[in-house]
This record gives sequence, C-alpha cells and structure tokens, in this order.
Amino acid sequence: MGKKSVVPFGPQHPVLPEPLHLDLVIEDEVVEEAIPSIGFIHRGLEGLAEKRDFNEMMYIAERTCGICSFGHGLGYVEAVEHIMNVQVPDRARYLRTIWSELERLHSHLLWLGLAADAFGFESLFYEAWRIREKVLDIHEMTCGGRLIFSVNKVGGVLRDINADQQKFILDQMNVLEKEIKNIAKVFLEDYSVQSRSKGIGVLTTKQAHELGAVGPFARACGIKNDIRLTGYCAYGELDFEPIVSNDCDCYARLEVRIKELFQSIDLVRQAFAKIPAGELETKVAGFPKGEYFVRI
Amino acid sequence: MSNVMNPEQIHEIIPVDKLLFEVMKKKEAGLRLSQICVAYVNEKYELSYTFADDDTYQYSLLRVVIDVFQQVPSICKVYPYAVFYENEMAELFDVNIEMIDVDYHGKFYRIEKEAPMLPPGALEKKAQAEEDEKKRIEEEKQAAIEAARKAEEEARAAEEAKAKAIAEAKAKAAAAKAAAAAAANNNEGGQN
Repeated sequence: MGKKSVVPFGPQHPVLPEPLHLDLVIEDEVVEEAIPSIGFIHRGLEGLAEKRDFNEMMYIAERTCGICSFGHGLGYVEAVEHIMNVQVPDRARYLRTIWSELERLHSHLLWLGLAADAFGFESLFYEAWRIREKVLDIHEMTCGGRLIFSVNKVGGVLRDINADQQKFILDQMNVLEKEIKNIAKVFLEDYSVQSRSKGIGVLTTKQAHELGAVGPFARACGIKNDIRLTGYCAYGELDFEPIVSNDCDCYARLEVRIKELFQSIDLVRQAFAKIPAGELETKVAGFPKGEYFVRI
Repeated sequence: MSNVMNPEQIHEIIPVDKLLFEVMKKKEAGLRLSQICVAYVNEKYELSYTFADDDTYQYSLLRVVIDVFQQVPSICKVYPYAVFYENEMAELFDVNIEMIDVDYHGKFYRIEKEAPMLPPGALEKKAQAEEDEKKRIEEEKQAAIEAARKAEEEARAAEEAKAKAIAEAKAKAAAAKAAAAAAANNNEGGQN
C-alpha cells in the first residue's frame, strides 16, 4: 500500500464549466477518493420564495440555471397553478411545450459541444455551438432573451408566437435537422470519437439507479424514464417514446442526446401542427396556499 | 399520442422513529430517492423525503415533523447520495442529523453565516429549546435516580422492619418457650 496524498482540484480549473472543489485522495497515482465542495455558487434562491410575491418568484426561479431556465420557471408556475387550481389555456400549454423543446435543443447542443471539447475535438465543439446559436436566435425572436425566457407566468404565458414566427421556426427546424445530421454522423460514426467514448465511463443500470441518475444520463444507462410521459404541458397530446440506450458508456450518452435532438425537432413540429388558437392566460385571483411537487 | 402515466401523489406523515424503516421499505420497493427538503414551520422542522418510481411514475412523500432540538437519523446507509441533501439541511437549517456518512460539519457550502435559511432569532430559540430539553432530560434523570434511591431506601427499611419483626417474633417465641419451660418446672417441683 502506497502513501496517501491529497491533491486539491479547483474551484477554478480549465476543464470545469462551473466552480467545484475536489479533494482528490491519491494512492499510488490512483484517485481513491474525490470529496467535493460544491457551494461556490449557492445563492439561496429558494429562501427568496418566502419573501417575494408569488408572481415575481417565476423570474427568480428561472435564474437558477442559465441552461435550463425555462424548465425551472415552468416547474414553479406549474406547482403554483396546481395549488391554486388554475386551468391553463390550451394555446399556452402548447407554447410552453415548444419553448421547452427549444430549450432542450440548445441544452443538448451545448452539452455535446462541451463533450467534444473534453475529448479534444475542437472543431466539433465549435460546430455544435454554431448550430446552437440558431436556437438561441429563435429564443431571442420569440421571448426577447437568448437564455432567460421570462415568458411564463402563473396562469399562462406572456407572449405568443405569431404565424410569421411560426413559419420561420419551422423553416429553421429543417435547417437544424440537416445540420444536426452532419454532426450526428461525426459524433456517432467517427473513429476517434468512438475510441474516446465507447466503453469509457461505464455506469451500469444498477449503479445509475443506486446513484439516483435522471434524465438523458439515466436513459443512456438503460433506465426507460422520461418525465414528459406524465403529460405535463401538452406532452400528453404528442406522440413520442423515451430514447434509451443500454450501452451505459459515454458513447451511449452522446447517442441518447443526439437522438433526442431529432425528437425535439419532431415535437416542435407536432406542437405547431396541433396548437389551437385562443387565450394566452387565465386570470388568477388570490394567493397560493398549499403544497405540490412538480417534476419537469 | 404517447401513453400518459401520472398517478396521484401519495403523501404520508410518519413519526421520526419510523423514518428509517419506511425509507428501507421504499428502497426495497425499488424507488429512487428524488429529493429531501426541509421547511421551518411553526417553530418545528418539516422534513420531506420524496421517492419516485421510474416505471409507474408514482411519486410519494414521507413527511417527518420534529421539534427543533430533536435528532433525525441519516438515511445515507439506505440511499448513499442522500449525503448531499442531509449536509445541506444541516448547514442551511441547522437540522440535527445523526451519523451522516460524509459529514461536512457545516462546511458543505462554506457559508459564513450559520443556518442562513432560518428566520432571524430562530437559531437562538433553537439553542434555548435545546438547553431546555437538556435540562428536562437531566431533571428526568435526576428524578429517576432520586426515585430509585428512595425505592432502595424503602426496600431497605422494609427489609430492616421485616428482620426486626422476625427478631421480635423469635424473641417472643423464645420468651414464651422459656415461660412455658419455667411453668413446667414449677409444676414438677410442686408434685415432688
């Protein structure tokens, strides 16, 4: 048994997208333990919920994360709407679904770009993020912001997507589909990508379950779980199946996200095909009193 | 259309001494720990443990309401990743959690202020409640010791009284025997 030593890692480090400190316990040049300290950006936003007006809190909830801001705001308004028994208009439910899928598109493209950067494929990283810009342009056109949407409110949405914007988005979906096909080919078929992702970072289905993995990460470990199947927003009226891989490695995570990009494009098209005309919001009176757990 | 699965959520309120047992039941049923959160309500802690069934999408909640001075067992041995939630609760709300596997002792978020999520004055109230509870336990302990001492004394006194009564009875019996013997002697002397 060799001598143990502790190497401090972070909180600022070139490979880390966000601040994190790890105490790496090393024995014979093997990392035996990694003890994290994660609180560098803890802002206590949840504490503000007790002090702010419930309508204002939506904007704070969105600021939990810049990548999945719409999801955070959506979870908050869905919980309050459930507590207050508010029926959201159908058009608002569909608009929320469209923005959710647009957010998934930019989030997955960001992740794929970072993954490419991590395995040293710089041009693929640039290409993924270049395509992502097109999605952010759609955000800007429909919401005014590129990452923070601020279109949700308790009872519905604040903005509509008009016919011209709808046409533009559907055209952009065709462009995105074509461009994503190009990078998908590289991500899934390129020898160097495969050599750096296949059989790497294996997390078995059992381990994923034991560690409480969720989302595309869990689906890449063979767990057939997609919370959209609970039918929130308009997902219950759209046709889709969870995308699952049983390979459990880094390649599986790339594959699931790539396939989910195409699924998101399909869901945006389905939502625009079915979106009804009508009101954007239901007027809400009173204050929320109660509790509810929402999963997005 | 996709097959929508959204069963009604299950909410259960359980006493703190049943927490580990109930959590183990959830684990055995194959549920995933979704999150743990705490709220400070009416000067008590409300701990909410939620579990998700990844097959049926059933979401269930176990709620434990404890006094601020009470301790709650860690569920790390059942769900190892509960360590993050538990350290968070301990640091932000000063919840007393026993035996966290990796206990950061208030250094998880490295926040300067102690228990920042508690309202002003709550920490002082908690310290007072803990002091009162300690005093109450000490008083109960002392009372129990006193009662035991008293019971022992009473038992000893009863034992002594019993021994005394036996001795007296024995003395009486001996005196009666002696008197009887003397009377018998007198009778014999008179006949002679």
